[in-house]
Amino acid sequence: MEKIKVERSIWIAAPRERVWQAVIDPVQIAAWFAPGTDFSQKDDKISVRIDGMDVEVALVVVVDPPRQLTTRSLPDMSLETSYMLEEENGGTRFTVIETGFESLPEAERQSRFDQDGAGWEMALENLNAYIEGRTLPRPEGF
Amino acid sequence: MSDSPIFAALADPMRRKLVLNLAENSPKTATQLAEEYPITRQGILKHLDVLEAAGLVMIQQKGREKRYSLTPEPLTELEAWIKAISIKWDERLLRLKTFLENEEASE
Repeated sequence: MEKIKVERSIWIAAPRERVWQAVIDPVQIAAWFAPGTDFSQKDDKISVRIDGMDVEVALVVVVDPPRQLTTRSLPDMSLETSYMLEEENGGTRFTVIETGFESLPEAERQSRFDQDGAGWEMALENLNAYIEGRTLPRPEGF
Repeated sequence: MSDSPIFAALADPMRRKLVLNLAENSPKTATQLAEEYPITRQGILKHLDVLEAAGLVMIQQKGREKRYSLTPEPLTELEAWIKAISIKWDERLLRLKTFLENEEASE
C-alpha cells in the first residue's frame, strides 16, 4: 500500500508560459482554483482573505518556471501539492499531484473543505450526484 | 468519516504494510506477523491497536492468542473521500482550461 496520492491531469490549448502565469498570479489563481476568493502572495507565502484578514494557506517550496510549482499547506505543512507543466501537442499538459493526506490533522482536514465553502458532506453529495449522472446539488462545494 | 482516525492509522509505513499483509492473508496472530518483520511482537501489537481503533482490523480470541483480520469497510470510505478530492481537482482543472482557452480564442 503506497501513500495516498491524488493525481489529476488535463490538456490545455495554451502555451506553457501562459498556463504558468495562471498558476502563479494570485488574481488568476482565483479564477480557476476558487472563484470569488481573494488570493495574495507575500514572499513565499500564499494567503487567502477571510473576514478582512489575510490567512496564510500555503508555502511555496519549489518554483521552477515554467515547469513546476510545489506548495505545502499552512500551518501544518502536511499537504504537498505539485503543479507540473509540460509542452504537449502544441499546448500544455497540466498535472496536479497531491500527497500528505495521512498526516493532515483531522480538524485541519475538515476546515480545509469548509474554507472552500464545501464541507465533507457537500463533497459527498456532489460525489453521489456525479456518479449517478445528476446535476451537482452543491456546485459551490467546488 | 470526519472524526475517523483512519488517516493517522495509515500515516505509518509499517501499518500500511500490516494492512496489506492482512488483506492478503487473514487472520494472523501478532506472533506470526512479528516473524515477518524486523520489529518485536510488542511493536506489532502497538500498530495493531492503532489499526483496531481506526476500525481497520478485527480481533478474534482463539485460545490464548488473539487473531487479527482486516475489515476493509473504512478503506471504502477512504476511497470515497479521495474520489471527492479528485473530482474537486477535475473541476478546477476544467475551469483553468476554459479560462485559458476562451482567452486564446478571443485574442
